[in-house]
Amino acid sequence: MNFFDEDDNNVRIEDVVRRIKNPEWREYLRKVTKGAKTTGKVIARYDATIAYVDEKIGVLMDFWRSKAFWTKVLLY
Amino acid sequence: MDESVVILTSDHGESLTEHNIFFDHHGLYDVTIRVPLIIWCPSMFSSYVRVSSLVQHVDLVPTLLDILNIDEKYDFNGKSLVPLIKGERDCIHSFVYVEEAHTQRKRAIRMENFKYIYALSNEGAVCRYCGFIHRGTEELYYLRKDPQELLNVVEVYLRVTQELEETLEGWISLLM
Repeated sequence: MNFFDEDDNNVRIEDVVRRIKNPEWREYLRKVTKGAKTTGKVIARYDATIAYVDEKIGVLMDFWRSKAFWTKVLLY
Repeated sequence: MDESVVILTSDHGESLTEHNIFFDHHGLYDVTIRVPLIIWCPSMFSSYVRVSSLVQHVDLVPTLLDILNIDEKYDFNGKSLVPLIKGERDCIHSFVYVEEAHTQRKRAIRMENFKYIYALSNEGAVCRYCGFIHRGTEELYYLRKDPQELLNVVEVYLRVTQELEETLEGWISLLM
């Protein structure tokens, strides 16, 4: 599987965040990007989250498929 | 399972720095409005096909009714996607209409090759989250050459801009 290379988007978070004029949104962005120095790091985290959830959905699907009542399951 | 229909889609994409929109889904750019759509229905469609023409979420209910063979006549904005999937038609919408009102007041029309976006007012153009205007109050993108919507060509293709604006206004007047 190809993951996003964080070096492909090497912009400093602080350079991005300080351009935001609404202080509430600025602080929100600082909070959710905490610990990441670059935008690439945040995108890599996003990418990793999707891969993680995707894998866990696979685990869940395998579990349901192993059960006899699988044909009566509604997944939403 | 053979008699089931499974639809996978998403309510929006995400802008991960594109167009100066950071880790959110405001803006009418393709990164946000273009979403996955997979319809799995083995009892009706036996092989996999990929449809590249324009479709919208409003098409899903008519599609499901069509698949379920319920032919009540409802006045939907959307259209069944079944003819597209079966290859009986190449296109059901010559354009799609999109609008946002949460962070900024903008409307857009997206055709196969062009997208036209305009702000309803100068104040409405200012993004409530970011505190600035994303890319301007009137935008045109030539998607075939510029799929990332980087170059605003509103001043270059004047006739296209006017045509899209008229189509957009015409569509909105139908909604009123």
